[in-house]
Amino acid sequence: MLTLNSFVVLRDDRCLFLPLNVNVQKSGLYQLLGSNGQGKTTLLRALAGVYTNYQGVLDWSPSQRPIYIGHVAGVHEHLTLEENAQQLFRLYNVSLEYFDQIILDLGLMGLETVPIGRLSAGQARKVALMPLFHPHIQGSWLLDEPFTSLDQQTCQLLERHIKMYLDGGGLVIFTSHQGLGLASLKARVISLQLLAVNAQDSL
Amino acid sequence: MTTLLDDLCMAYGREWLLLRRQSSHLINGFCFFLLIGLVYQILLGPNLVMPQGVTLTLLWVLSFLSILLIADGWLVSDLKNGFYELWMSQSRSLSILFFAKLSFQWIVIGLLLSVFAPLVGLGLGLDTALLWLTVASLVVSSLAMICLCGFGAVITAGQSSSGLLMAVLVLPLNIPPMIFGAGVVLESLQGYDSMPIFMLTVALSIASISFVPWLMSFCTKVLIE
Repeated sequence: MLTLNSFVVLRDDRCLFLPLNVNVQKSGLYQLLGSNGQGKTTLLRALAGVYTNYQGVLDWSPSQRPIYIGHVAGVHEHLTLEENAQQLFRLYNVSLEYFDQIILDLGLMGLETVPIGRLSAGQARKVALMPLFHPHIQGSWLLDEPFTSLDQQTCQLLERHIKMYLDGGGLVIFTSHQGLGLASLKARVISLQLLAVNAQDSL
Repeated sequence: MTTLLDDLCMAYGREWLLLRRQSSHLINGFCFFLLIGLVYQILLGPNLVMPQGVTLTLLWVLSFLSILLIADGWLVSDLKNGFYELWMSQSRSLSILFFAKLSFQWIVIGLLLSVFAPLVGLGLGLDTALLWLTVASLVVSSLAMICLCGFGAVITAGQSSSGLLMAVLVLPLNIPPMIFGAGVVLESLQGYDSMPIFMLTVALSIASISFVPWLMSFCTKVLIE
């Protein structure tokens, strides 16, 4: 599904971590670990095709465009919740058919016409995560700190949803400084280090 | 794979939404256009007639400054909120996105210019015989001015207090469309055939809308990285 060979991302002509060799052949949950500034976000952006200043081999097989949800996730503060959702769903080529169900699940019902700038950080984050809850969304998930700003209930909902997606054969790569709450959700670790690189758990 | 047409439709849809929700820059730009025109008329008073050439060049300078004000806020929000990253992550063309942005802005600004420019022009004593040619030339040359201001907006988007820097960078670039645009009417005013210079203005605008979206796309990728 994903092959990285001697893969390093560069910033200001400096390697952020030592060459990474990872061969992900099966679906699963992978967590990028590393200290602040180690290149976790930059690696995710490179995997998403947004950051091209890297060396080595990066190969998605079969060729696909992953769903990338970063720190800032493409929601416009002046557009309403519904308008932002329309934009995101259309960007990922999925219909608005499940919009009502998704906002109900995420506890956003009644806020459809409120501009994102007037919502809390957690609510805005939920809007950014909405495409993940669409049943027809295609592609692996690259999530940068997906649990940031979310309340405990939504964190659990997202974890359950990730579990369902993994059971269906999906691949999720994420960064997070907080542990996963769901016992049945075990992440394999891709550890980014300056002096040594570990790709654990039979990657 | 998404098609270019799909990208284009989505980009126009987003521009329409943003126009409805974030029109303050547009309103500011045209308030400036009207207010300066009005102040000129008041300062001149009823007994002094401004030469036609000065009136024409003033219209183009006002249009340029209004577009500059409007363009200042075109890209900052979407750069900050990560929309361009999402767009790129889905292998969609940034050039198409910027083509849609610039052409949409041209339709809106061109429409508003064709309404307000005659009002300001007539107030400043513009000959009514030159009115339609002035509006046509202003609308055509505004496409080049919008594209060049868009380019200025993207190269200054990462800077704090980008307004002055943008004005300094964009003003020299906008001199050709202003000279050609005003030149169309000035040629006609002097009794010459204005068609050749009008066609030059059209060519400059077509060249701008063809190349500037690609340049903006390149600069945005550099900014994002």
